[in-house]
Amino acid sequence: MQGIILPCLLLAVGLYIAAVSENLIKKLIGLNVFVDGIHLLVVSIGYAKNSIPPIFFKSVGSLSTFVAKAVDPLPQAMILTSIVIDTATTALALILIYALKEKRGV
Amino acid sequence: MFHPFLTKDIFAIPVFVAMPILISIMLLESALIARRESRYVRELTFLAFSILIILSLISIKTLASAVESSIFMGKWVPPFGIQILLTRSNLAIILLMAFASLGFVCIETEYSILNPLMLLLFIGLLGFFLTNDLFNMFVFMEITATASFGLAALSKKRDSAKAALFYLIPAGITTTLFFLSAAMVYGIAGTLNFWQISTKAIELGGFLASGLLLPFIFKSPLIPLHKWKVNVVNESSPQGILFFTSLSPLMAFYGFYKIFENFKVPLKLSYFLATISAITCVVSSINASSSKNFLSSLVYCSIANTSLALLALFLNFPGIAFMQIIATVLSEFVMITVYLKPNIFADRGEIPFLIALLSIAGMPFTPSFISKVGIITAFFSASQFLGLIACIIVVFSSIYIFNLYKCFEKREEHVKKPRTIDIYERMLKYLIIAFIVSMFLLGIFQTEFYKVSMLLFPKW
Repeated sequence: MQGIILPCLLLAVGLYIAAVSENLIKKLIGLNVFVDGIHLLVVSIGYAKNSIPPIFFKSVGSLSTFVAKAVDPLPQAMILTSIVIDTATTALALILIYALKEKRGV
Repeated sequence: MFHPFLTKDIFAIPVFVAMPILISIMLLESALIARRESRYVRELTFLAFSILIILSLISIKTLASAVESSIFMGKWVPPFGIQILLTRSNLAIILLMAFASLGFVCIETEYSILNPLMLLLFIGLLGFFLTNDLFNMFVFMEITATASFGLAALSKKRDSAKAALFYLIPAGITTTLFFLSAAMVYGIAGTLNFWQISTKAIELGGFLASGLLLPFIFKSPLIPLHKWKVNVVNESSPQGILFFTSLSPLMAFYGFYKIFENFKVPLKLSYFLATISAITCVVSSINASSSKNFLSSLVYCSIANTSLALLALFLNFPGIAFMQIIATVLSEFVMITVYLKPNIFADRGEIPFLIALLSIAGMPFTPSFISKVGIITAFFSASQFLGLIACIIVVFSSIYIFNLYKCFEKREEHVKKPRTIDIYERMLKYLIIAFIVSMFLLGIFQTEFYKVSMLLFPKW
């Protein structure tokens, strides 16, 4: 349940800040909080109770036991990619805000 | 689990399907290294786009003997592996995009960094059209978006940074929602591969529908998310203007088609989106006919024609929608390039501009005429009421031509001054002529064009 409540809270807070705030940096922070909320939500989709990391060691047992117990690695891989993209977008947005401040003094 | 990609036929894969992407990446790096000599950056970019055209033409030959071919990056099968799929439908789009890409290079950039950005944009677009995976669609959409933010922001116009920023934030939110929806699809289906998703018959409803469709509604753009495009195009670099008015609709069309083709779409949702498209078409046409600024009028014209295509798409006439999109891309490309480079024609571009304008308005023997007749006929075949509505919308989608031509005539005096043209401008001139000739060829061979469009984009 916490896996749903916390991300939804982050989503709501992030969207509110991005929509309402007039300060561009705050808007960007809001967007980042929103994106982090989504990352958390996606992680919770892939989570399973009492599961093991998706790395195969001989101590785990047979391959079928590993497949049954291991957590799904794909949502984590997706989030990792999304974080990289998000970082690039944030950097670009910061440059734009800086350029805007230089040009217009906003 | 059903694995259609494990059949022998599909494994007969030409490696060069992925080559345009790899070459673009390699040349992007070379262009970045050669950044000090901006002349070479432009030449390298031109070379990259020429290779893209050659590869696309070779691909036609390959697909003549097979319906489709695909490669699996690293030989990993879905859901973990990335599948790149080349079909006749996405090849048609890539060909159009490849030829349009030459126009991007032929117009000189205000900053040399725009050349690598253009390559980045086309990597994103190629990946977007070639991928058969929901998550990679998101990744390539973000790559395209990042490059387009740059194209919008790196302009000498006063409010370019502001316009780009106010495009970036909603674009970020919509694509992130797409990412969440993709994760939800993975939660439901256990895969992100479109082939596998289509076998699960997942209903596109509620949050899933809004998440998956919002980025494309934003990119098209449909009402009420349409204002950003006018602001961005007015402040953007020439390359940005070309992308937002002629290639962005192509992306939105393909995105919608991919989603509608692979998910189970409720009728209510289709009708809702069709209504929004119809409203967007009418409102944008009125705005295009009342706007005093040429670029604003042109953007509204692009939005009106894209939404007309989407109207056909949402009511399950994808072939007709494709014809309308082709007409929009060809005409918009000619109109914008003539506006940006009027000196390449002795008459300052009035004649090619007028041809493109009449073509987009539905002049006989042009693709737009065929698609508009197709829309009216298709709607009449559904019901007389729908046919009547289609007639009204089609008439509305052509009312802006007088205003657009008036705005074109009134453009800034300094743009009109004729001067000698360089080799790139000469190539642009031939490209514009080629686009106009292809418009008429598609119009003359209308029966074949209609049949091919129906085959490329069948109903779902």
